[in-house]
Amino acid sequence: MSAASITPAQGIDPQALFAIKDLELRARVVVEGLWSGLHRSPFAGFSVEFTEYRQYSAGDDLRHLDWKLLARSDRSYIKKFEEETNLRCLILVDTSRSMLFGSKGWTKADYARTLAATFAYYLGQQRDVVGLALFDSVVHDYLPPRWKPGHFRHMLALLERAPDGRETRLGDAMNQVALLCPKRSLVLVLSDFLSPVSEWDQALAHLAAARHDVRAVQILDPAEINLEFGEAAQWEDIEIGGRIYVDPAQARAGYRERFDAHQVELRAALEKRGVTCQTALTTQPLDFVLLELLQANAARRSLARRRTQL
Amino acid sequence: MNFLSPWFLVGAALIIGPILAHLIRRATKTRVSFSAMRFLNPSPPKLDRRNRIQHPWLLLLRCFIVGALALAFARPFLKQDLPTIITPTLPLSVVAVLDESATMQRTGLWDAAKQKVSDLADTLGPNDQFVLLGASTGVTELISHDKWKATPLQDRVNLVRAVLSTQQPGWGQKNLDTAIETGTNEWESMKESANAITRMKMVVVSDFTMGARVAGLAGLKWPNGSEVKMENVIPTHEGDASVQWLGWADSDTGLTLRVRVGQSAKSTLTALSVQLKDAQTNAAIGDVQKLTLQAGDSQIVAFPVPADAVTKPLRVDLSGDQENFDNTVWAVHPTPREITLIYYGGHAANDIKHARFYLERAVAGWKDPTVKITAGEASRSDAKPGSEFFVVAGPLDPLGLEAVRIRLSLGDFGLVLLNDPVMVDTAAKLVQENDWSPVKPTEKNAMFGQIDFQNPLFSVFADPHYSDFTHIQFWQPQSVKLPENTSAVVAAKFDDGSPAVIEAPIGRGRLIIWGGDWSTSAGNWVLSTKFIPWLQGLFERAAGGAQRPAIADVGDTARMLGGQSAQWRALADPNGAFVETTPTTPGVYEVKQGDTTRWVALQVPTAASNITSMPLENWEKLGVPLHAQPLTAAAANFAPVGQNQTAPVLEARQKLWRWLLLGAALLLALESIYSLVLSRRSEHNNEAAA
Repeated sequence: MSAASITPAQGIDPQALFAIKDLELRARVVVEGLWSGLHRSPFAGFSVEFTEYRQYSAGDDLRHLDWKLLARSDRSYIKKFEEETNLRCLILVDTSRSMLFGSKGWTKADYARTLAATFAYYLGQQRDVVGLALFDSVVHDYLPPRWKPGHFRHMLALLERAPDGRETRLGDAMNQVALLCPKRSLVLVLSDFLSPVSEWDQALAHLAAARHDVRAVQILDPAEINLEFGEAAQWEDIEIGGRIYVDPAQARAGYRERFDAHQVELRAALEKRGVTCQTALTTQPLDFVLLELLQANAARRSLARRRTQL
Repeated sequence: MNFLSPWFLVGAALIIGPILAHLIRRATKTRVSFSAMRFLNPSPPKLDRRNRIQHPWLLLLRCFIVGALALAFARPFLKQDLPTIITPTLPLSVVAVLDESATMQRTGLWDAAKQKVSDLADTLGPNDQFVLLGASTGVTELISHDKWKATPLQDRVNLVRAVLSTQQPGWGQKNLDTAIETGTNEWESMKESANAITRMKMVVVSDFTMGARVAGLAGLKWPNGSEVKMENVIPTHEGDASVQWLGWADSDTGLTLRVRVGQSAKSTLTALSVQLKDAQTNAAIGDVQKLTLQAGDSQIVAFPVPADAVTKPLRVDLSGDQENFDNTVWAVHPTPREITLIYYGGHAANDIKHARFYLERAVAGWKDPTVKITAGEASRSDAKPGSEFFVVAGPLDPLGLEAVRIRLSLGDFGLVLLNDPVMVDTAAKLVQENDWSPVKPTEKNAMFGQIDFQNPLFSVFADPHYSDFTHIQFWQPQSVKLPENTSAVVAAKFDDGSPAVIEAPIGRGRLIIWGGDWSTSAGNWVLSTKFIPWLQGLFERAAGGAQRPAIADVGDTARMLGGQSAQWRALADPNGAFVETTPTTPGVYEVKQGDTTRWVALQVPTAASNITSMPLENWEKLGVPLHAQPLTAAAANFAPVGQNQTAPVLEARQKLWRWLLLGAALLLALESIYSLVLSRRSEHNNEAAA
């Protein structure tokens, strides 16, 4: 997979995007918009799946013999499928309760779903195989990476399903993914990563050690960064339901301090495992995020090539 | 005001909760949901010192709710509202139930029981009504209400004593539920007779053993104000050993009589012995069997019965026990009924092509009735009706036909197999009907198309599990066309509608006509699993129905007699006359039903040996009113005489807690509405401020 180095001049306004109710249409808008803004085809360098015929020779598996051809021309040919595809990708989407927070009229879950759909649509257009895993405390829905008609629709159906709303256990989910997807893949994790790093650090290490190319997209609401939100009230934990009295004016400084410390710890943990991380605010245009993802991938590949040459 | 549970008043201290809550003023009560709560620390709540109590009216309401709940739980009652109960100035309607069952035969019980009833009669006033019932398997009215009323006042006590002096305990079961239920009905009749309100009292005088039947009391509706008093009588000896009838065991080594010897829980005499005897001569049969049984134990004892004693009435005596009422078991081995099957057809017993071969094998080994097959012999003129069965599998000469017909008309059963068209004529002549003509079913392989399972011939297969006859086929069967006015009944039809099995009454007997032969060349009926049950059912009918038991409990002779009238003669009086009165004493009797006479044995009911005392709780569980219930509405017109009730009764009557709970509920509703109003007002103010 390669990406263009040119960025679209202006992204799609998230407010306008989320006014579109249909998830597929949202994904199409983002991807088509991205393509129209690019000057170079993102398909460059991609090979397509192909098949070949070759004559049967003794010892070949008869299951692959083209019987129709044999009937037609009396020649024994083997119909060989090129199984290799460009990319095998598994998108992990956090559907826990914490993702239901949103201060701008749409939630982090909406944003993550749209981003997942967009990325899946983009890859699907390139005939890459894409899978989907939805998790909260466990992976509750899993669609293995595949390319076939209707697969994208199936993914959309899963993404559009209302989340059960349980607490996040990112570590358990990653362990499950490692078991469910043994083939080497690009694993894209879409989550807010607000749970303590120690809870999922080991699982991430296992996932990375299984030679998966793990990418993390931390989806945050702007209010979660600066706490410019709410009023002095009973604040309820959206995930576990605990309640405390919070005056944001009083609590803001301490909150920012702890939040920044968490972010530093998060970055360090991801970097330690070789995982690229990008933060996506829910106010950020989705096509920018997608482009950033693709560019990060291109940079990573070129880095990998250079390392190989050296 | 007084309280039944004053410690619940401590709960009123919870009022402090709402007061504290109203002292603390929070800036807002709105809720904010947030995802990154783990990075937030709680802010300290603000205290509003300018106005210490917020919403004082709301606080007041909440305090009242807590207070009302605490008061309600403390169960208050008012002393000045002390009611009084109805005093025993009302006349009594007394039903005395005197237990006359077998256990009352124990030493000392009967005299004590009679004394209790006599004492009860002494306490009755001139306006009181009285009924005396005797309870055993059934209920006997010893002194009726009418007799009591008709007796002059001064003679009433003597009447009771006179009746008691003539009474003896019986040998029946202890069906106390029936007696008590009858007693409640007596109350109703006494109430109607008195035309006034009376206090209903029942006194049950018994030893109250666990063997008593009381289950019928569950769900019994007791009249308002009724009371049942249990007067327990104590026997001289608490322990008892018993011998109980178990049954006959037939084996290769011969017949065995089995009894169970048991010890009650409080028995002290452990050395026991049992002996089988000839009931007529009291001569011992076999050796004495000695047992050592501890209290509560039991042991089964088997007595081999010599062949010459099988037909004799027997008894098993237990010795070493202080209470003799259940120390003897009487036994009579049922005599198997014998039927002679007279086969007409001239076929050999080992000729597989004919019915006799299958009949010989089907009836072999039957215990009752036992069947002996003879071929083509003339009937014995002295044979009892029901002792012969005729199978006609071949044409009969006129003499033989007449002989069979006479026997059938006397009460015997017969079977004609239509294995040839000429047999239709034989059947018609036996039934003495004309116009019977042979027909062939249209199907070569016929099956039963319609079976009347109400007919006694097939009623044994009426259960859907056994009613499938579809695997039975008949090859070229013979059927018959019956005239319209025939007395014969078709029990089964072939699938083309022609009669397959016909039953015709001939005098007191019955003739069965079977469409076809009984052999493997005529169908698979004789090989089917239904053949032998069908045949046995037919022979049982021929012998007079299902075998009736020869041994029963005293008072439970219905099955033994099969619903027919009987005459009895005791073994002890062999030359006496047969009487129609059913005996009430255990022993061996001769029963005469119609022309048949047989030995039967009546036992002391097994439950009578269960003499463990019944706890009083059992009666309470059954809802028996062991304590006087206060008379309510019906007795309200009687002037109360002061007698203070206890606090629980007062509290239960006043039920002030209900009012307090109702008040708390109303206050709660008011508090909710007021809170809602305040909340909306607050929201409105906030919006206005924004």
